[in-house]
Amino acid sequence: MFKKDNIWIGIACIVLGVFIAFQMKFVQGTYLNGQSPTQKTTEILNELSAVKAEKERLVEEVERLEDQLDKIQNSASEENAVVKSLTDELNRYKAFSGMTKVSGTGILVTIDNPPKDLNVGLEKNIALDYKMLLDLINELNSAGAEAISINEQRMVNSTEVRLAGSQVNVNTIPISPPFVIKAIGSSETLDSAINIRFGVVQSLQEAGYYVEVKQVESLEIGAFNGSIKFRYATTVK
Amino acid sequence: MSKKQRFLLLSVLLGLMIALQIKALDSGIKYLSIKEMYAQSIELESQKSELVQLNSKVEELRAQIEAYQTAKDDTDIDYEGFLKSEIELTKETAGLTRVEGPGVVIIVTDGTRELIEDEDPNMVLVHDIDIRAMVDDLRNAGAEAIAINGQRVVFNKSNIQCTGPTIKINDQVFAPPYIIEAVGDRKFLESAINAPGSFSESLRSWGVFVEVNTSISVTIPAYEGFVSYEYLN
Repeated sequence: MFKKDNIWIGIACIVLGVFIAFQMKFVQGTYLNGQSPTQKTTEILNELSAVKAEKERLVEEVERLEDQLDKIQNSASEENAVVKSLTDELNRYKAFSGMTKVSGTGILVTIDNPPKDLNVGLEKNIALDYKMLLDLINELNSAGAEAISINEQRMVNSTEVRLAGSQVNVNTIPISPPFVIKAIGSSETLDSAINIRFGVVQSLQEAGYYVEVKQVESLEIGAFNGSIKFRYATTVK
Repeated sequence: MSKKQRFLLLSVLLGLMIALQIKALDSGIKYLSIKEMYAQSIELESQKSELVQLNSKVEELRAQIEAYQTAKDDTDIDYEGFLKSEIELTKETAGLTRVEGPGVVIIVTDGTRELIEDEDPNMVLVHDIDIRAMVDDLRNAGAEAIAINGQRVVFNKSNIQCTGPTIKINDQVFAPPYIIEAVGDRKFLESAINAPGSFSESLRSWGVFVEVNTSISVTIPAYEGFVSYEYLN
């Protein structure tokens, strides 16, 4: 009798062991590409800090090069009035297409996922409701916003706001909540345009998201950080 | 095994574990939960794609500096003429010129199917959000220029707004059918509208009429409302 019990316990242990092994293998396979958690963590964190340093270096490089370009343009403008007016015109169009850093009065909208609610099984993710972001941007545009950015990604003609996995791609850069949307324009008009009854902010809040709108005296929106070149379209008169 | 032996074995095990723990704390290895790790890897991916973007910007700036410098130093090159061509190029990417190229023509109009009992007629009608989502799909597929009913869509100025039975685009009112034209890679643009999972697929399933045709040459007008800014510095 005693011996038989032992055998059963032995079998249960083996089954349990196999299950644990499967579970570990599965977790490693799906999340970690077969590495141990510590290895992977160290790898990710190291790579992240390297990439961040590289990004900082590039941002500095961009600033330095922009200064250099400015200097060349300015020294050319000093010699000739026609050149100066042409340079000004060029800069106006550049500002229109979002290729320059701008500042002015405007609003700051912060949107975040609600804190996890234990009663609701499904987790709310604003990324899945990216069409609401499109709505918000459209409302800002129609309220006369002159420049808009989401998480420092400037909105330009080619900008897409697109669900990709569980994040949103903007200018092909994956961004994740909280989303900070900056818009330059008349701060009162922008604020009330999205805060009207049954407006975008209300529908976002009804969907359970955290939304905060702040009017700001002065905010800065960075330039579009890529380059746009047409490969298919050509200008015709 | 005697009691003493077992005790010894356990002590050795405990010692080993303590040593391992201290070692792990020492070597600066950080522990993250799987969820945190996932968040970090998303962050990494995001930063990496920003690097690609910044690199292309740096390259462009370098090329520009060189071009400006040579235009300025070289007496053979007319600096004013060079500036004028730069202006044209900027206007082109800003959407302020008429452009032509291969692309697609999309026709969207209200559905004609019979409604099911008690069904909301809004199901078969075209709304501003539908047009916005389609434009977004097209941009995602790399459209270089987009026009709706002959109105150029530019991101920083165009608004697509529902006004009752009609839709306002660039402050001009249009009624269905809506004709969306886009210049870009024809295959990509076509599949942006036809692919499963695209927004148009849901539109079609609701009964809205969507048709895509590719074209060797689509002409898209310039954006007309260029103004200087009031609030920008």
